[in-house]
Amino acid sequence: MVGLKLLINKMKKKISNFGVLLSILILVLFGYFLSAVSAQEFDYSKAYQDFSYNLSLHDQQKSVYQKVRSEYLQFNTLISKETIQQETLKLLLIRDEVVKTYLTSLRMKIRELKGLSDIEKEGFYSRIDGEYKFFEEHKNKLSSAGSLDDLVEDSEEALERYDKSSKNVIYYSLIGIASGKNSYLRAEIEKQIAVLKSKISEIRVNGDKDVSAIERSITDLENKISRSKEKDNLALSTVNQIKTIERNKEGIYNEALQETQDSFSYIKEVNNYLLEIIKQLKTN
Amino acid sequence: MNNNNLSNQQPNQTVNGEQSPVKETPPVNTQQPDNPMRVPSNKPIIDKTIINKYVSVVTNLWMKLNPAIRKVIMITGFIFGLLLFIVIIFSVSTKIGGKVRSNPKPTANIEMSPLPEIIINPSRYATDSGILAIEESLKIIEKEIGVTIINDLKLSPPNLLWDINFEE
Repeated sequence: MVGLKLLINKMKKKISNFGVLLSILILVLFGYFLSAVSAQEFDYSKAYQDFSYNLSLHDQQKSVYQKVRSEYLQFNTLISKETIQQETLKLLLIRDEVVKTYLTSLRMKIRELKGLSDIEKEGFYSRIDGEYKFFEEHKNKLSSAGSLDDLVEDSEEALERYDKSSKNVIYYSLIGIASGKNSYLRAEIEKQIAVLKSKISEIRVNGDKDVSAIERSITDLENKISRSKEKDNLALSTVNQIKTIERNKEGIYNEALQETQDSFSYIKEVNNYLLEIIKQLKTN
Repeated sequence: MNNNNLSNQQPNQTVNGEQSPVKETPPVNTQQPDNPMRVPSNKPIIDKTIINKYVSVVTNLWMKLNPAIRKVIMITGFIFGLLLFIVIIFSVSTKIGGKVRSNPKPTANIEMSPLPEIIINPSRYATDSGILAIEESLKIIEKEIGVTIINDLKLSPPNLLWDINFEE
């Protein structure tokens, strides 16, 4: 009897321990599930929201800084100096954060593009990540600035990097995004051209419809597709050649952007013509 | 139902037998008709004894369980309740966070259903499945082209304050 009671007590303890273990396991699994869900949710849309939010904070801080700066220049008191130092630090911190979140938005946009290969995407990532790293490190060291002069120096350092290097990466990425969109649409159209060509060959063999004019049109459309590709390549090479000391970076970017827009116009034109060809095939 | 007085009198006629230009209001029917849908009030909707029976069965089962097992069930139940509470709080907080920073939603475009295409003098390829499939794919591409923005101004570089100096 005593042995049986001992056995029952042991069993009870084991069941109780099992319950505690089970509870811990459930908690761990739940934590893992939550982290997995939050990790999955981060996409371009979320990255862009972060950027917009930080940009609005920057704009607010910019107003505060400008107000405090004018007070400092007017009164030049010890308190106003202390205030301007605090507000300048806040502005520099948020400015770095805006650049970081903007670069992340570009990265996420590129990641979600269907028209770029993984190798092409990696090329963009490595350049974006280099800039991101600089601004992250720059932001981390800002709080160690001891004086207004230190903050001015830190700001100039960030500006120099942004002007000479980050802008190039930004413009290159923006053109990459535009040409990636073109590339995807072009690939889809090329697939349909291939299918249509084989169908037209079939019709020619049947001999019940004259398709010679349609065949010539398709050759023209293929040439337009090639021109579209050339325009995108030209846009990328143009923007890639922007030098670090180039003054008219925006002008060169706009030139490259125009090339991608011309490329897009070709794509639109080709698709419309293809729909016209389908109409021709459907009528006698 | 009880409209005998009304049926004897002509419409628009007074007691004296003259025609009245004013329309008479219909008489109010004081007797309510029987409502076949009415539920008898003396019959309870749910029998309380059934509920009590189920409660006692569940209580007996619960008491028959080993105290250790009851403890495990209670702990697990408590944890699940806690997790459910965390999930609700988490989802509510993310929704609120999302609302604060959300961008204005674009107005929904009302898509008109396209009119059916009428082909005059159709060829034998008008109903060819291969041709129709290509046409369908090209129309999908056309829609994608329609929503593609090459110069996405949303992604333009931010306008930041870089000029930090303390000289007048």
